[in-house]
Amino acid sequence: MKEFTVTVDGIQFTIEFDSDRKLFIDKKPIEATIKKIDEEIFQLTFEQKIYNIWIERIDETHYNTWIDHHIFKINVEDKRNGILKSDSNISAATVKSSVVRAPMPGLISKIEVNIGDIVSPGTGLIVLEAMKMENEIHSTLHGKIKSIEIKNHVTVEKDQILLVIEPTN
Amino acid sequence: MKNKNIQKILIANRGEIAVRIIKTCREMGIKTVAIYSDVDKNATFARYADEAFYVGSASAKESYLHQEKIIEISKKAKVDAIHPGYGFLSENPSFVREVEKNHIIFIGPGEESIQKLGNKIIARKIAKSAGVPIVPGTMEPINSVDRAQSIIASIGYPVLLKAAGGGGGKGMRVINSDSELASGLRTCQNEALLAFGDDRIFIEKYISNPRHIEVQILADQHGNIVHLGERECSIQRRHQKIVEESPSIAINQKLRDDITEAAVEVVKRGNYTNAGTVEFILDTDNNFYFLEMNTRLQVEHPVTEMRSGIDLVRQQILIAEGKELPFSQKDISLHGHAIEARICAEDPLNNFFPSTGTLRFINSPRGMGLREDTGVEQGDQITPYYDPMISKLIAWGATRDECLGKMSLALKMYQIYGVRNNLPLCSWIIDHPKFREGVYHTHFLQEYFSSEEFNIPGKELLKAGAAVVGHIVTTGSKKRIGSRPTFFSQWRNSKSEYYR
Repeated sequence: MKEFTVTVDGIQFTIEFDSDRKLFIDKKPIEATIKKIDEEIFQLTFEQKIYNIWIERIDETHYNTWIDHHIFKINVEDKRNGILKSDSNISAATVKSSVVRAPMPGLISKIEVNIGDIVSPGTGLIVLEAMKMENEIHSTLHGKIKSIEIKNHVTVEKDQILLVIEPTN
Repeated sequence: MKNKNIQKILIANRGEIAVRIIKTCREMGIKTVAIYSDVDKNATFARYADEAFYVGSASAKESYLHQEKIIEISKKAKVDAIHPGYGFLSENPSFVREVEKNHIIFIGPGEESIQKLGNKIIARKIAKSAGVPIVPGTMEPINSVDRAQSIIASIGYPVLLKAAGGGGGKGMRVINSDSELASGLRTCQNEALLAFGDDRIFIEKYISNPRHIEVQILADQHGNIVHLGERECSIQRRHQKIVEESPSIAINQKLRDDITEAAVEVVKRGNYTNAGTVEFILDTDNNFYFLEMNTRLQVEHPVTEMRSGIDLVRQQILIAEGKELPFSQKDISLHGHAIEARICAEDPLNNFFPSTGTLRFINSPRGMGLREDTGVEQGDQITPYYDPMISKLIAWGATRDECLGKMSLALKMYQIYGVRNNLPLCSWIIDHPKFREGVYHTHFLQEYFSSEEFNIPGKELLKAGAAVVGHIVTTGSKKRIGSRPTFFSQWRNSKSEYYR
């Protein structure tokens, strides 16, 4: 039997599937069938209700769930192994994020910092224009601008490096 | 006066509005030509047209805004007319001039009308000369604190400083007292110079908690003008409308008569022809003021079509052919209540910034009194190049209650998965008690909306979600979803392609 702890909006449930793939939530058997409709899209018959559900997988332990117009984040932990992937992953990502990349293709409409500037979380770095909107990209950490990899009024591709921040403590 | 049968139209636009225009053309037996950019090669609108021509790369400048290429295709395809839709080249007088120079009909107002009524300052003067109230303030730019103070002495605080070159909410600043004036004016001038290369500032009375009311006009080339009633578009985000309804619950019949009459006056003074919209703001004491004129078809035109039974695109084509309007004001009758919600690819998990991706699953609502104008199908991509609007959902009911009931249910039934979207927000608005009461204004969302509170799922839903995630984890779907950006915070309108 596989057992997981699932944390949804701060509430914990234990989820188990037995060898016949019968579902138990908090040790109680639940009448449920799950059908995959498309990549990320599932149809769930859950007791007397039927839902269409969109599950976005962020990584092995983090998921976003859309059911009708409700959206919530779900974290999964394996009961036996403890946390599948610990939060150390997240802190590693934070360090990496000293490289600021373009979240989507767009036009650089303003560079708000210079090399050597000290930034802190929330400092506006670059304004990117895409989909008729101007979007200000903010620093997520304390640090110093180490390099700026783009020029004003150029178009950038998704994930293109915009600038590099040297983190300070 | 031109009087010509239009047999073939090029649609200089994309997405839902291109589909919308093509439908009416085909009903009328008119051949259609679509233009498409690189990313729109497989788009619904391009397939819908009788002919489709490649126009250029994804960037709007190289495609839907490229005047020479569009005119060249029009000549090659031997079209009689060009319909610009909304946005892109629809309010560009130089485009109208080039189109007409090439003996092609522009389906819209003349070059001169766009130049006059499309310019906020000239339009304000036209409205004033027509006896239509305008927001109290300067007709000329101000450059000194003394001059500002003398104007404020007559109109009173709070005032709004507005950059002459601004738009879409940019270059504006509210000033509440003398102590804020000098520094406010200086900052505003600096910002305006940086953003628009123009530091001219206008000053006007700041209307707090206004409502946005607009009047749909049709005017032919023979001097006949009719209005098709008002639409209220006060529910906005970042100065863009999301929900529009007609009639407005804020005005009584007397006020409605006054506003629609004022709109007709502005159109008459501006020698305007074709479909257009005159926008007003309404203050909390029910005074209305002319705001601006949109010299084109609007996004929210279906609201008026649902109530009037008049196809506005058909009328636009007939007017462009030089025909007289087939009805006069007394023939117009408006029925029931209509409402529109703009469904956009915006992320409720992240301050509603635009979202891209594949529309993996679409379940559109259907039923009596429902209409959906869309340019996408399941499997289509939402790209970062154009407007994030996915579709427009419109409901009609005999009464406002009936109409809101239909819209509420339609939004609940509507599922769009694969691209984050504002369906949850639209649903929240329609069901909000203040919206139901009709007590709302343009700052409705700033006042009532909090992203923490609007989306609280019940425990059953949490369990359902947990069950499916448990299923995925145990059956192991290893496909990695691309990482999503988390550092966005503020989206604003860009100046270049802002429209309503």
